[in-house]
Amino acid sequence: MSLTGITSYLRPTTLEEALSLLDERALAVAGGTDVIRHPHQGVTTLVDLGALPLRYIRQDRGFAVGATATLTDMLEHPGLAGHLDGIIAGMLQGVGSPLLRNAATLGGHLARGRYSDVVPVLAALDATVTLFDGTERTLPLASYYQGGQHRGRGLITEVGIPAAGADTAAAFLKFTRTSFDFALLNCAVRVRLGREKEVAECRVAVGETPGLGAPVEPAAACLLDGPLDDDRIAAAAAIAAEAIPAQDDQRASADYRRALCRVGVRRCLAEARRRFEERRA
Amino acid sequence: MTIDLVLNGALRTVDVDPGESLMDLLRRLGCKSVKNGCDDGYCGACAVLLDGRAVNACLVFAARAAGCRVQTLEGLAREGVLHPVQRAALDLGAVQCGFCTPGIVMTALDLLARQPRPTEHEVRDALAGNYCRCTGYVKPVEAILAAAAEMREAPE
Repeated sequence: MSLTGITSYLRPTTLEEALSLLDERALAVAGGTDVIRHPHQGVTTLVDLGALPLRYIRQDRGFAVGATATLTDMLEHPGLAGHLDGIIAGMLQGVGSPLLRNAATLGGHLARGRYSDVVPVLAALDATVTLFDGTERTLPLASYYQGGQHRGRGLITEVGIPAAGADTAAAFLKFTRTSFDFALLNCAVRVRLGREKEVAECRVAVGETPGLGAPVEPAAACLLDGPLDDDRIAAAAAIAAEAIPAQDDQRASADYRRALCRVGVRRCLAEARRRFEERRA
Repeated sequence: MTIDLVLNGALRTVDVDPGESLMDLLRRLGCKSVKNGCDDGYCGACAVLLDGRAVNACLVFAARAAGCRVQTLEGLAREGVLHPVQRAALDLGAVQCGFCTPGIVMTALDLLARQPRPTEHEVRDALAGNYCRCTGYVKPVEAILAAAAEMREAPE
């Protein structure tokens, strides 16, 4: 959809230049797939970040994904796509369509900060976001959205995804009306087992509550230091269903979301356990 | 503002409005194969190749195409001879009303460039963003698989 009222389209080649161009009448554009769909009151300048050297995926201990890497770039990166039994690739295959994923960028998606299957997965993986607002700082993805930082002036430059070994399994699941629609609710888990097969570390993240995906700490905490068995999984799922900030909206009621959450978290944890068992077999 | 792009192999210098979509620009330049189905990224009827990858032209700013290669259906036939994907679509009944066909063909080209030997499942996944309300997808999928086989036998 062509936008009206835009008088300049700028393509800075350095981060400093990009930041200097972003005033109250300017909007940053990464893939542009979301910006172009909505009128923006008072915006006359688009600042295209596509010429910045931010389209990369580096694999070292974990992964560093540049802000303008597309969702397709992530899907087609063998290391990232295979990370933790393919949790990222599996999730991305359900985001929009190939046509959309060829243009939409990770940084743009995170900066948009709504309707996201990406956020709960990256939150469960303890991903970090690096922001540039004159100086560079790195913070957990989960805190990026706290206090509305994603509405601030800082530009996302990179997303970090920590390494994980064979002692770690993860799973993602979403409930939708149609494959193309946004989720009614989604959830992601990551579990690391210790020497005695006890849960040594755990993340449970639930999204589209309808708020953006966020860690559900009480659910994860209740699994620590014991086995990943049916009873404890069921208990964690029940706690998650209670703890999420569920609300009614046009997609689903709060009650329905809690019911979905209970089932979703249980299935995700069971899937993580199945993946551990598969590795042992 | 003025941008340079390579449209169907020819270098073009064009005036664009800073807020204009690539779809509106291409249609203005006469590439009417780029269909305006929904102007919202759902239907895929405006799919074109931008530097080789299929995108919804309605969701990309025209100014973003500066310095890029853009391919539309208009650039496919060679001296009147249809591209194998076009030929297969016609021969195998993948074209009914035809509105979605250009977008499906461009999406198929992106797939076949990366995966010359796709499975039916991969073809269906690739077409997830291309609506076709006539055919039920059976014929387009068959046509893309047939074109893939032909292109493997007689690469360009």
